[in-house]
Amino acid sequence: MSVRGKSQTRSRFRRPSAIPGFPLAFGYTLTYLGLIVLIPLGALVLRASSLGMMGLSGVISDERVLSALRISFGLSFAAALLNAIFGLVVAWVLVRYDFPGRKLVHAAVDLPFALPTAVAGIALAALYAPNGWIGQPLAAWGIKAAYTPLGIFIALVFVGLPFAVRTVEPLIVEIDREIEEVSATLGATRAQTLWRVVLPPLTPAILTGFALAFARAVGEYGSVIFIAGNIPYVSEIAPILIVIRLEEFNYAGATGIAVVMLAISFATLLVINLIQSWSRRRFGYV
Amino acid sequence: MDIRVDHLSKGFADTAALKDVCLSVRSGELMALLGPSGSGKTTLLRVIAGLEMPDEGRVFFGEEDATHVPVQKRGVGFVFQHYALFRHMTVAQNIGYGLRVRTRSKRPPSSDIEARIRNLLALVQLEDLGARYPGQLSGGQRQRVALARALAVEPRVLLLDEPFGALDAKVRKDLRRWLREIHEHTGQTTIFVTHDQDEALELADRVTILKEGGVEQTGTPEEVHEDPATPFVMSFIGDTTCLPVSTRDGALWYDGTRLSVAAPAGDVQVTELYVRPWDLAFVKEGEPDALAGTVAAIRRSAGGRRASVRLSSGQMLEAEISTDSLLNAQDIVFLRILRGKVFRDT
Repeated sequence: MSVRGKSQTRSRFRRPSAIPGFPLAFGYTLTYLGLIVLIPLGALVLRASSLGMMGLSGVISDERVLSALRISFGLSFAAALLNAIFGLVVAWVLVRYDFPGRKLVHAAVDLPFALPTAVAGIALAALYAPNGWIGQPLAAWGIKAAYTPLGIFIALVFVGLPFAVRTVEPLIVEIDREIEEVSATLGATRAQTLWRVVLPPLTPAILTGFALAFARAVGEYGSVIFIAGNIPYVSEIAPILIVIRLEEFNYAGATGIAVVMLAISFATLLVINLIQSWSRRRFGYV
Repeated sequence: MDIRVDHLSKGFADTAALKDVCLSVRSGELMALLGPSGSGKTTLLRVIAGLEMPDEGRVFFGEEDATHVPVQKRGVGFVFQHYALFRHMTVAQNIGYGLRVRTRSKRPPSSDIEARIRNLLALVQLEDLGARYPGQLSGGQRQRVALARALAVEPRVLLLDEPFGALDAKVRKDLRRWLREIHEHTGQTTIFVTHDQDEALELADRVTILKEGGVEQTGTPEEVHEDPATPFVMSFIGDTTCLPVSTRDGALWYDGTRLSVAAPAGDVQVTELYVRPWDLAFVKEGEPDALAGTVAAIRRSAGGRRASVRLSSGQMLEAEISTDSLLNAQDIVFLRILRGKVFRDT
């Protein structure tokens, strides 16, 4: 192949750039994605395919599996929703207001990232247990948090918060104050400025934060198992059911649940991505 | 709408941004606030808009004391240097925003809003771009959208903060002329901030020059250019050279030469003479009032040619020369000061 032909084929993939290393970086990306992500997932699907369609539908139709999936995805969705809303509020406060201890709060937001999930789980379980600091007053109100779906929800909110905060924060930093001032001079009330001017450009980032928090919550294990109590049909999440199946040496059953989780997660993230690109076009035109 | 600012003071954390500023803008007037960075001109504009609260003093819109009227109810149109367009809205949505956020009782019917948007798009010559997003427009176009958006709410006063500051020279000139036309067309009371004296003189009916938070002078472009009130105004508006002079026998002296510029009447001491580059004449050697010097450099600018002359005292003096002048660097020249401005020493 002539040099000219080579450069022409290349230019379909990239524009001339001041930074070198396209072949290296691109090759590395493919290898990396393949080794770390695609091959393990492929192996999972392959393993599950040994179940056959019948076996798979047998796994799904198991009432205990269905209830675990419902709990996992339903609570993850709810937790991600709450995180998206309050993550926005927290990020807003951290960016816009200067208060004593701001740096401390800033660091605290990242703690759920850094803490081993089991430690978080044990701490939460101890706090929300009927004799714990928070569990006791809650119990007096007749609310039972530990060993119920509510406890799982609390744990999932805990682990998902940093995602929601950290994705919207840089965009809030970027908001031009003059946009708000212009809106005010045009006669808009504060609420109108917030809804019509400030929030729409943040929508894609809020959705990203939601998706990340959701994904994290679906796969969460360590922080949930202690507070959940893992009562079948009540507070048993799908990941723990997979572990239980593994301990029973029921590898096919475990991979079956795993594949179903994979499919639902992938579908959910795909939908969120589509909504995102739509809202980016709608709200985030730059 | 007459706008009056009465003994306004405003300080920020450690510095005073405005010090006892008084200003009055007549209805339908185009007023320029001119000053260097840090002169408080933008702060003054923001106080008039209601975006800043003054520490002392009051702002009147006509007879109404608007000092404590919140910005949303003040009825001003504000245009920022960097446009501040809502980038998630189309051009038409941007322009209609101020009308659409009104409460139902005050909001015009949707068809009226559409019509008004169309009229404004025509006024700012962007008829075909209503469906575009701000990100798809050039800087000049964006600023015109920002202006249309401000005009849409029929403000009592239009406030422009360095409206052309972010644009390149050619677009600046076009927009300047165009803003003047719009102003003549709408008769909208307008105050704009600029640090560009050409812009202020060319565009405004009257100019207010600010320095360090205080008003130095207010007047027509003619007045501030021809009869500056302070040395600061003199040197800020147009190029000026300041010569150290002394007063003796009713005349001004510079470096042992009696100048032909008349000294002020009465027993007044003057130590500085301000000279414009075009108030100098090249004369023959031997004239009694001529200052000798050497041409240090000749520069070409868009408006003409300038010679930097080093006088025998070492002082540099800028002189305008004709475009066909045969003067060269290192030539020895003799300059007569035709006109100069003196200020009483304070």
